[in-house]
Amino acid sequence: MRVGVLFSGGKDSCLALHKSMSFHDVVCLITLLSENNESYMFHVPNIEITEKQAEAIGLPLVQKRTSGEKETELKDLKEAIRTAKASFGLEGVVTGAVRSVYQSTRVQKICRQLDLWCFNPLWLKDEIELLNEIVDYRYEVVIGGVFAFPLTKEFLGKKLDGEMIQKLKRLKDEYGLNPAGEGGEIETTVLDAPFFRRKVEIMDYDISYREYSGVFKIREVRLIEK
Amino acid sequence: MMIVINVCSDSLGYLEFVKPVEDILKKAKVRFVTRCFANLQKKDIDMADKFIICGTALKDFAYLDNLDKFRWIVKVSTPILGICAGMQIIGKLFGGILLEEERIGTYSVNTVQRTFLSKKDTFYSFFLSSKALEPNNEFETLGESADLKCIIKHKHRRLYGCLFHPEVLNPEMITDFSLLNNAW
Repeated sequence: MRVGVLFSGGKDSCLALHKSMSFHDVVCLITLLSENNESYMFHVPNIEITEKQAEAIGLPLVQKRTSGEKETELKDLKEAIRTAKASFGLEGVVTGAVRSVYQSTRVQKICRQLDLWCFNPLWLKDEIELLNEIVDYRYEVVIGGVFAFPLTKEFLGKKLDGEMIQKLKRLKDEYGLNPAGEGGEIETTVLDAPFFRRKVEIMDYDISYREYSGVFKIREVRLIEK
Repeated sequence: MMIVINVCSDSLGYLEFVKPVEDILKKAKVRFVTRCFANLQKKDIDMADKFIICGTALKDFAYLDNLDKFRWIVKVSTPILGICAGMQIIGKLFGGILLEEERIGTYSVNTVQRTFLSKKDTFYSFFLSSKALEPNNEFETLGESADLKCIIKHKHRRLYGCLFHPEVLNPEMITDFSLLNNAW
């Protein structure tokens, strides 16, 4: 089946893409560039580097800008998927939704309206199992945003590894934090994964942080051979 | 030993509709094996003490094209829980009718009769279905969502169906089914 993957450049959409590649012909990535930092639907920090990530992976990217207003972003998403369907002959769409019934419901409805299959291969996956899978596959992932207590500035830009998983697990036990950031507490950016043909290298960045909310903003990247 | 039946025609569907049910059973330390509906053997059916028939993707209707593969359901006395597509299969095998009725998202369910599937008067469940079931008169309705019959039970057998996906918002229904005895 020819499928397109909703792609934010974060760990969940990359893992969903990875799983899809084993069973289907992934023909494009689809990204919504939201201007709304509070978007319920779309990952925001470092979304601009999806273009470079798609290039590193070797897949075409369908991008659409959205103001990120609640209903407008759904119309824009539908439009982006419609464009991808027309351009690449999509038969299905894959998402990295894990727990969000809100996101999942809306994408399922859009796919039904456009007569497309909809797959959510990470659906209800245990958060620690998900993080371990990413580390086991040797993804290179950095934390691009933190948006919840008790996440400090020190998390920003840090790599996701076994030690970080243990740290997040402790925060889950002590504060009830979702270790995979499914409620938007943590956002991530993937720099390398087994299906990347080239690796993304960060050339320039800056960090902003205030009261348990901060962003590791990637300003410039380049692709390097693996 | 419980048997979890996978009706998905696509491997990604397994990850979305079957694995979450398996994870709930693992967490509850329930012994189970998973079988694809097309490969289910007589020895599997004979050794099972319960079955869960999982749901599948909105566009996947392979289960309806292969209803013959589920004829064993009519013959066994083992408890069976059909989730979404699973409920449609059970109902259809007993002469029920499928209607075109889309329901996607979280909806309120009202209990008509209390069982392990409907312990509260009202609760919320996640639906992902394009068809509703009008069961024949061998079934009773245990729960409704607006006018939709969304929890059913065979009047004389332990055949249960829910049109919603309990693995999303009501995982306790799956563990309660695994503990089911003759009391219900």
